[in-house]
Amino acid sequence: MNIDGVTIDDTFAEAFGMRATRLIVTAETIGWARVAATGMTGFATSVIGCGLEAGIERELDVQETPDGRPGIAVLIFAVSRDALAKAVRERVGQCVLTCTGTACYAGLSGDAEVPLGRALRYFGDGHQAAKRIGERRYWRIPVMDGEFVCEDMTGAQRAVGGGNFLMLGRSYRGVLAAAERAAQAMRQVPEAIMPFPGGLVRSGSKVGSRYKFLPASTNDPFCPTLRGTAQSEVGPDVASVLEIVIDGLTEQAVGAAMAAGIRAACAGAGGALTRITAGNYGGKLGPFHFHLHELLK
Amino acid sequence: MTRLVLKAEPPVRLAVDGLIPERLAGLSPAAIEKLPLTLGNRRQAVADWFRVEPTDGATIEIVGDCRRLDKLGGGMSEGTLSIRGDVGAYLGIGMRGGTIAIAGSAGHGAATDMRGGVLRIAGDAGDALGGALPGAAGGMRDGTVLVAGRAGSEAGRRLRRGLIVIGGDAGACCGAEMIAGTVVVAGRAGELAGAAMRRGSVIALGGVERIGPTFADGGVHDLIFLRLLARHLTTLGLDGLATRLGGLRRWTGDAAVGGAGELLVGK
Repeated sequence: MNIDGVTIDDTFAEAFGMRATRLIVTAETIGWARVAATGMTGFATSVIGCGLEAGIERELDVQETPDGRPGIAVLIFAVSRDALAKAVRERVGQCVLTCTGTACYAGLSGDAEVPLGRALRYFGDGHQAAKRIGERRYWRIPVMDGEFVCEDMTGAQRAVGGGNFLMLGRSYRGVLAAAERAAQAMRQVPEAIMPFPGGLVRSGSKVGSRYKFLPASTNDPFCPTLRGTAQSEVGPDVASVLEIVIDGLTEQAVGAAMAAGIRAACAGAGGALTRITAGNYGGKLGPFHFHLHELLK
Repeated sequence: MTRLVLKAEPPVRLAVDGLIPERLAGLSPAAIEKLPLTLGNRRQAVADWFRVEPTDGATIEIVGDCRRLDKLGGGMSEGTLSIRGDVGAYLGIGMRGGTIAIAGSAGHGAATDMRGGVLRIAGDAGDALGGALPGAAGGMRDGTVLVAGRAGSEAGRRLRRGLIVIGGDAGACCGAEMIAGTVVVAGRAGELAGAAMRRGSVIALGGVERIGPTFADGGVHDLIFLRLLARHLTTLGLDGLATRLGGLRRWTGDAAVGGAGELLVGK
């Protein structure tokens, strides 16, 4: 398959089952909501090193938030419900509770729940108060600028993590421009996030290493500086490779984001981008397989 | 579903707590006419007091002067009960779900021991709205009560959970001995509002007649949870009231019982 002069490999991305939640962070201004959301989704690139993967899904208008203030929808992914609960407690506790004027609400119902305000209420040291409004229960925790309002629980659902594709090109600048187009297009897809910095990954990894203490190491077959070695996947026309990793609430969301990203990367690539491929483990580890040709039909 | 037309005003109190949607569902008019009612201390039948008419809608309608009818909608858990006019005591007592709408005013003890559902009163409510059964530790446990007019004394006494909205003024002891939940008074709350409350919120937008010395003035705040409540009130059709929630003076108490409740007072 070829799109705008870019070869699309006949391969697939292999992804894994995860647990996810959506949180809605509101604040007095969208700027402060961004500060809180950016903080809570920092150091959240990979479950291997961070214990969770997280990212900003989108900004919310005042009509879309529970308290009528500007807000941000954040998606958080972890390998289990317990790990998700720990991530939610730590991230909201350290990055949202602490951020001026914020409130935090559940953004999905899901088939299970993890504690949100229920885990943080003790910060109120006995002065916290539960408040049920309609069918939802909140905690009001006194803080120095007023009250931190936080929903009692947030929903958790099965999700998909690790969708990916790699962009290979003749120059770093050309690949970067294509990757930025891809990330921008993928940010418009609901229910999906790209957890790495700016949505892009330069340090794609493989499972294991020659060191016993290191469970993952550089994806040397795709490192251009190692071209010519036995395992190299990089041809003579490739000087740079960037990857985008996608987590989504559903398999469809991951597939839609991948398709949007690949199309945007190829559009107007002007020969800078030569090839797009995807990472997998032979299909033996992850239950979700995203075949590039099928996604782009 | 069914329309029940009261034939005449009963000479004494008539308890009609059996006339609820789940009890009448699937019954023919003849079967409904045989259901028992309690007139004073006598057992009587529906047919003695009501003319039963089948209707197309899913609502049970009760038509007539119902001021001597007590426990209307008592124990109801689903469906809709509509009453044209005033009703007697204990409207919706022990109600668990569904909707009761009355076009007039309700007597003493509406929503007593209520556990769910929505109770809408277009007129006024008597004393002990959302209160407790005699001897019970807690009053209303859940649900929503909307009174367009004023309420008598002791509205929300021992309220444990749920929302009571009073469109006019509330009498004395509103929210007294409250355990949790929310009472919103669009008008003025009488004296001793929140007396001996432990938790929960009494929101008196038109002020409180006299705030007891065991409440501490915490200053004026624009609390975020009031925005959540405002959104909820909007879904209940109370847009005008919703716009008034904000910038209220917070009094915490009642310290006389070691309580951590709040009076949120306007003006």
